[in-house]
Amino acid sequence: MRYLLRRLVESLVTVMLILTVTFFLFRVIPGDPARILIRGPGITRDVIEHYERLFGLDKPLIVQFGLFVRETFRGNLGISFAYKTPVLELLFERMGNTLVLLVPATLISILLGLFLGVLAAWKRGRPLDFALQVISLGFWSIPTFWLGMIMIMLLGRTFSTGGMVTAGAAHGSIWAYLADLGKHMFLPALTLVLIMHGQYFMIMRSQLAEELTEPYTRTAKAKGMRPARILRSHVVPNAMLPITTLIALNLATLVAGFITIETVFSWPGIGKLVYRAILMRDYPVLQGILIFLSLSIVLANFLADILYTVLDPRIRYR
Amino acid sequence: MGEVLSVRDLRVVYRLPTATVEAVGGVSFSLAPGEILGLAGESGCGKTSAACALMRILPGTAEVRGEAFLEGTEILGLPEDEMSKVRWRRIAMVFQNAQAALNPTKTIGYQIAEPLQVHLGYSRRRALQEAGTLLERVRIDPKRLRDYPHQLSGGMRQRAVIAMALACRPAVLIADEPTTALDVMVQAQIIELLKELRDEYGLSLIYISHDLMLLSEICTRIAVMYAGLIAEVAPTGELFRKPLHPYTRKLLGAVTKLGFRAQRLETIPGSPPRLSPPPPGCRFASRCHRTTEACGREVPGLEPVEEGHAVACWNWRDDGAP
Repeated sequence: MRYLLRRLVESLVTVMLILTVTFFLFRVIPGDPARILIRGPGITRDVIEHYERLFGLDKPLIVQFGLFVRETFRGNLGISFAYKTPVLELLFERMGNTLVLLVPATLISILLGLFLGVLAAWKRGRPLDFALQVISLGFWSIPTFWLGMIMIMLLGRTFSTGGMVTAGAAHGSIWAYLADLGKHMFLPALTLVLIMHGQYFMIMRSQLAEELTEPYTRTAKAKGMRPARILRSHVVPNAMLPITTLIALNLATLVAGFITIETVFSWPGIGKLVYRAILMRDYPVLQGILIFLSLSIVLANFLADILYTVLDPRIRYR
Repeated sequence: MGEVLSVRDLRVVYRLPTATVEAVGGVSFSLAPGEILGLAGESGCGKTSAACALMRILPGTAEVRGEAFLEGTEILGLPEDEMSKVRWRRIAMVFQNAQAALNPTKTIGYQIAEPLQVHLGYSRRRALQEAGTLLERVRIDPKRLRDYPHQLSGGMRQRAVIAMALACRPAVLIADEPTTALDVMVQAQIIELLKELRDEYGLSLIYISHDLMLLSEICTRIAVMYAGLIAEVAPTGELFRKPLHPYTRKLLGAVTKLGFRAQRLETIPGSPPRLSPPPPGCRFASRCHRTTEACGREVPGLEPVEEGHAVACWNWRDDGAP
């Protein structure tokens, strides 16, 4: 319990630090926010001052910071320069789209990667192990956007290559909608799985190889346990401990979207929003995404720690 | 012949990328029912390699040759699947470092019950019940079934590992330095316990240790190993009374004697030979004080001297003072 409390306090301190860094980071970037906001030729001093008052940019920096922290905690992340809508609304809308694509793709990657990792570790040193390593590492090293483009070239006729659903189509039923969504999701999801499963594969394989050298696996063998049982009951559960943390952290980064995939497949998610926000210097949006991402990583870290204490008896009683 | 285990010309060769090491170079011994055979020798002399070879749990880089008859069945050539039925049911092992030998994330109960479920088809419930009985037998509160290895003390962990080894009532138990990491009081307890269990379970024991005095407490017979070979084997009393191999003599000379005034401990100068490949001739020759020409030429075989006493030395008859 005290451990939990300590971690909670630590998390809160981290959040405060993130807010501070985020705030000042965007203040030291060259360029006057008011000018960026208006973006027109021949702006008069009056107009600039009007906008500065409107957005509170005339107040001392420390006051601005106070307001920023207060508003952030109230759930107000400001207004997008480009879309002129509240950043939070924008983020939520895009995040839904991103998660529709990334959550299933990531889960499939994890399951596939871990499964292949176990397979390779079991057959380590054999041709199957070698083949799996070549394939997984190969896909992992391919630039994502390039693989995306190749996918479009190869399978673009069969599956849709842009957007989430066919633009302007009237879907008669929820099933028709889902079918259309599936047709659009398939290629980006497949690309993601091909790219992402490799890291889970490599980590599972090396973690298992390490566990297999532990003396307790020799004990299990001496006890007459067959290899499949040793893997299933002893080695894989122990190897999963560090991997659980990794998965928790990776899941946290999903909220930031996947810029290359979303851009190549015109998927209206966070990644694509980031891309556009950078092009248009939409600082409030970038700032919002940064805060969102940091918060979800802190949260995931916190949850992973709790999960770890549940999974690993050596930590539970400390 | 009434032997539980009979090992003939056991060899273990490690094929490493850089070298080929002959860890065990042709060892033969037998184990009578109820007997406690000690395997003595310094680190790296092949004691543990020989034991793990019998269990067939050496890594893939190890090549095992020879024969081992366990209750009449040759086990070194058994198919892997058959062997896994022999392990723990007929021959079990207590490992050197109980902390490492146990799975850190499984309860003691799970680890003791596991072979009962797998080999004897016990239900989980019944296996755990039996595990509790076994724990009680090694004087651990059955409540500890739910504990994890790190929650037990060193002595308790070692006793839990012994309980685990007894689960399927094996005929032969190999104890590989089971007390090395423990303090002397706990050591004595474990040795007493093993003796009791031997009588109760009708076990035959192979007790591996580098500590001759400790072995003399528990063993009926002791085989002294040096550089992968047995140098001398004799009933415990006889070995201490009448050591014939120069190595045995020097080992006994290096033992601290209680009751004498503090004296400088005798040591054996030099170190064991490299075994990649082993030198021709007697492997102790480089540290021996009475080498003859034969010693450098040919490996001496184990030569019976008396009933149960054999020695591998060309010059054991020259009973000159060392």
